[in-house]
Amino acid sequence: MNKKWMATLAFSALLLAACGNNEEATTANEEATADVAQTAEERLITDQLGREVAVTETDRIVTGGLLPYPSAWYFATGSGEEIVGMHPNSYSATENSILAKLAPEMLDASTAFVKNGEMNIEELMNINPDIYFELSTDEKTIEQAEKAGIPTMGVKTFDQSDAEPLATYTSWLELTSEITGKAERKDMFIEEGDAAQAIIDEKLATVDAADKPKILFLYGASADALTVTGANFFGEQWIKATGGIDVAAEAGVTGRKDVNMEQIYEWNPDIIYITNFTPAQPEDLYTNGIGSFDWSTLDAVKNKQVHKVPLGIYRWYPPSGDAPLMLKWMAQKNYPALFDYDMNEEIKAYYTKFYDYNLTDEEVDSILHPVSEAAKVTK
Amino acid sequence: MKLWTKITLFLLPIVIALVSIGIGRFSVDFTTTVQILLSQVFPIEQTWTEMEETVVMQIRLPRIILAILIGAGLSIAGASFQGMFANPLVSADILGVASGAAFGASLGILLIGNGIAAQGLALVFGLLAIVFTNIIGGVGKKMPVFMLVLAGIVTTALFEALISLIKFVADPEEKLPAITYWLMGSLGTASYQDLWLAGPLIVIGGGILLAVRWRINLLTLPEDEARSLGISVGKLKWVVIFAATLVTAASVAVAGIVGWVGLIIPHVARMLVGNNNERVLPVSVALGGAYLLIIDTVARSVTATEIPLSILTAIIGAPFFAILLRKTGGGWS
Repeated sequence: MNKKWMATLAFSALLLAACGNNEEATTANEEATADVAQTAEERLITDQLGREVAVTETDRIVTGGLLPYPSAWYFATGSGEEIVGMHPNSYSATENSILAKLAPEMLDASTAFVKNGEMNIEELMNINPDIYFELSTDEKTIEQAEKAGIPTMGVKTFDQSDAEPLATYTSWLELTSEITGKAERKDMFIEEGDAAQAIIDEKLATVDAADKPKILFLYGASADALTVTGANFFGEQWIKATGGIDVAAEAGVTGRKDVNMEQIYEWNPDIIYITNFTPAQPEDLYTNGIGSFDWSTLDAVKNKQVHKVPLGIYRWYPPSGDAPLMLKWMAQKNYPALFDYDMNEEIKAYYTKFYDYNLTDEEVDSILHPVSEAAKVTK
Repeated sequence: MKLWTKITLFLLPIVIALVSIGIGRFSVDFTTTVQILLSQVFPIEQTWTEMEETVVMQIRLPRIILAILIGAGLSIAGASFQGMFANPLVSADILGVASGAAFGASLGILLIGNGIAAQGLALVFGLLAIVFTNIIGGVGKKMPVFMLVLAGIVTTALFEALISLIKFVADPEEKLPAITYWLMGSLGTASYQDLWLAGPLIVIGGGILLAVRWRINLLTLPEDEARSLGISVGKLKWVVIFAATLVTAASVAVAGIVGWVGLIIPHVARMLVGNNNERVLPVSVALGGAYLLIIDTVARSVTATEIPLSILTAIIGAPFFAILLRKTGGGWS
């Protein structure tokens, strides 16, 4: 009796496995094997984990948990054709950003290989990537992809030793230009970023430490939790680079953490920035629209100094190709009297220079005032 | 227990509340705090800022009241379960109520967002969980108590698996942190709205338990003996279970899972006053309210970031409980 059962079970398992294994996967497997065979143009590229990765082709790029990377690829190469697969969260950011207009071909990318935040290796093999980019911290996924014969680059999102907000993005562009051999746009970016920072540093040299604004980055705001970001996170870098005081970092908050309203009262920031990772908008604070929190007594709210972080080629809070613009935008919000440039013109000029795209006034407005839907990260 | 000990015990939560309202991340003078509180009743000229008043009246006061209510509620529910089953191991967490309610609330956060829906679902699933446990464990029948504890473990395992499933499908940026954080218990966003939602249920459930507390003693007697005293055992059991579940589910609905309180406070109470539930229940109310209030005051004021309650209840509670156990031998005879 027992044996019969076992046999039936084993048979059903086989049947199930056979059904699940679709044809494409097999083809991809064969192609992958074929790729390994022709090692003629193989190059060794060192990724940010210090691993040497053998790369042959660069025509099919898939990006995983490193969410801003598809836009970085586009930025570094001027082309989105190669991006054939990306994380669903990258996709929603792309779809809701100007990138959808600059590189509409990126919207053809597949997102099927990530479900509920987990990568499915067989689905990834279906896409048959030449290179797969993944967070350097996600060692499990990197190992899995490597085992499947996919050249995989581990990339760092945040380097704590870098105080400078553009450093992370620059490192991505350097890696990308090494892979593609195109360095021109990377150099332009570094130049533009240095120039923006130089202007800011020069003007801020006259500012007294006591006059610096107290700044809070609100990462998430809902009836359930108020999340802020502190030290060792992008917010602190932006604040330092644009001459503010990060109240959360000063109070010992690191990374992103939940705090209570009383703590926010205690900080009583002069300026609050709301990231693109939450649907919350400045209006929600002005009108006390979140849970039962009362924001009205905060200085930032009284003086209407709550700003939603813009969303251009990517969310401006993490590293993005628009990072020099983020510097200029934030510096102006922090010190409106010192920085009198027209942000709309700055954005237009930057987009013409880097993306060869002439923005309309409406498009500039949608960058500066992103819709709440752009926060949605799952599809 | 002497009269003055009794008075001290029941004044304890109130005294701690008065101290607690002056503590927090935002500094408000103690005298200002008192003035603000008094000004709600008496006409006092306002010498304080809007912000100070908001902190005291809108942030701290509802949170403190909720902490006392939930601490008291979880403790009386735990004491009732322990008394009813004459078993020191049972508590609302162990019978599956807490995980059932937690599942309901996670489901609410996942599907609808938050607020009333999550809290309503917490109640529904908390009750479902205890019904489920009772079906497996066979309440009212001649079943050994360990059956019920095992049934509770089964129920807990089932709902915990369902919670994991929800965490698995939840949006990792926005919803997952909310669910995870909430599962560790927090009063970080406590408001009057939460108070109006959970308060009445806790008071009603707790009131019922206090009213029948003397009869809970009888539940441990053999059934025919209890019957000879004119008590319908079956009905009484269900009343106690329903009331204790109501209290627990309402607590979970607004504060998430706060572990340990329902288990250890009744033990401490028994160490103080012995096994008679007529005394154990009221003492549990006073001790539980005071305990969770202290814990929550620590959670909200020690660091800039909120500390989840369950971490503190276990870290402070477990060693304290261990020492008490060694000293008294558990107080359960």
